[in-house]
Amino acid sequence: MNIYFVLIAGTLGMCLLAGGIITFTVVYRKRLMEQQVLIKETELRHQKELLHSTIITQENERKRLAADLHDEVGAMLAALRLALSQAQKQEDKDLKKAQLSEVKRLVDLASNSTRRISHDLMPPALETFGLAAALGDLLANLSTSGLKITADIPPGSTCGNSACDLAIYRIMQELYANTVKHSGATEIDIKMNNTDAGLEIIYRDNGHGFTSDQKAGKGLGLKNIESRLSVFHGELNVSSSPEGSVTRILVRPD
Amino acid sequence: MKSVFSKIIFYSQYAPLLALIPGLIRFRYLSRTMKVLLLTPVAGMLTEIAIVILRDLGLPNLPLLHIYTIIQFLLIAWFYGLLFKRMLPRLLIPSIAIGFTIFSIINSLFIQPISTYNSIALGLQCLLGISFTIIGFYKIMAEMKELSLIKSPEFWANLGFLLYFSTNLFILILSNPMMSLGETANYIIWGVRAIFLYFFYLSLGVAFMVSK
Repeated sequence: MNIYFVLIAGTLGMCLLAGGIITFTVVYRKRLMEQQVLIKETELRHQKELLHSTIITQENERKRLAADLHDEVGAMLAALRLALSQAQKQEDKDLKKAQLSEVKRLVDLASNSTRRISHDLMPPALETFGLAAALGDLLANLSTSGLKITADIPPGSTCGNSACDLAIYRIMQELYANTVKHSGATEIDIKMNNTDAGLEIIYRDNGHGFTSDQKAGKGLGLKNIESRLSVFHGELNVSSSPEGSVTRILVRPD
Repeated sequence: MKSVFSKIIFYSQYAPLLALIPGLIRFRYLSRTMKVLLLTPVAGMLTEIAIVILRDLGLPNLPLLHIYTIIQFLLIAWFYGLLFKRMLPRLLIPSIAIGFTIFSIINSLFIQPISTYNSIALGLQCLLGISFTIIGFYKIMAEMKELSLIKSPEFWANLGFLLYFSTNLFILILSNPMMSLGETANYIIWGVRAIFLYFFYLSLGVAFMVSK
């Protein structure tokens, strides 16, 4: 009887164990697959949002450029044409000389506008002197707006290639625009560091920050920054309190 | 009941064909690992043929079981060695295979004579087999190569081995004492074992059929 008991109990027990292992494998694997699908769907949705925000930003840039060209350069060229027509018809030498001076002034204005628009599109200092110099120029221009900007950007700071440096330049422009539009800050502090992990940027302002709901919603500006960083395997970390916001960016080398 | 189980036991000599035929049909689609697995029903079939010959000649076939135990385990270890190539240290499964072979030979020569069931070696074979299958299921969960488990040859192979070794463990360990239980009891017990043998080769057959 003992043999029967051991045999039956043992065999049944092992059958149950086998059944348990197989059931666990099937059920657990199904859950893992579902989780993976969910993660992939979330990633895809996020990528679509980033792409959408990039397209919107591009269109907005184009609109702004079109408006700048029309309102500034276009208007000046029209005024220039009128002045030249008048100068052409003028027979009095002194008046002609005055009108030609006006033409020269309008040409200078049109040239300055074109230069400004061109620098906005592609800062010349970036390619010639590097990221640190370009950011220095940018921050110097932005300081005239009334915001107190302090920066610690070591000369020679770079994230490795010109495309990445341009992305960092644009990100700085975006962060500044966000600060001006949303935070009400009066001071901005920027620190840049070439570390072993990559190029680290810490951007602080003393604005009123934003709530976690606002951060979760993520405005166009933050999405643009994320979109640019994703191309260069960069990381973005934003923390906020009523005393201000801190944005940490890390761009790892290729 | 005795006649039902005796028929089940009798036809179990053809059970390896449940895996062999699909394996040969799908042979060109089989990966290297699955081709090694195909050797298991081949060895099973050859052993069944040898058993029939020995029976017709009136010779005992228990010594053949001692040899078949070693061959079967070496084939299973080869299969799992290929399956776990990237998961486990390279020499682990070959070491286990060599160790088991040496142990089985010592068992047959000095511990359990070849005229009796080599229940100790068979029990150890089952335990090692169960361990391999548990690692195999873990691999299936971790890798998630196939979207559907039904289409995974590894799943079906592991399923077959797990059911086979689990259900056989106690039957094989107690195979010697069982001989004193009487004819009917032995027919029932070996008949139940034969049913699981059919499931085993059927699982292997499905594994070959879903290979691509």
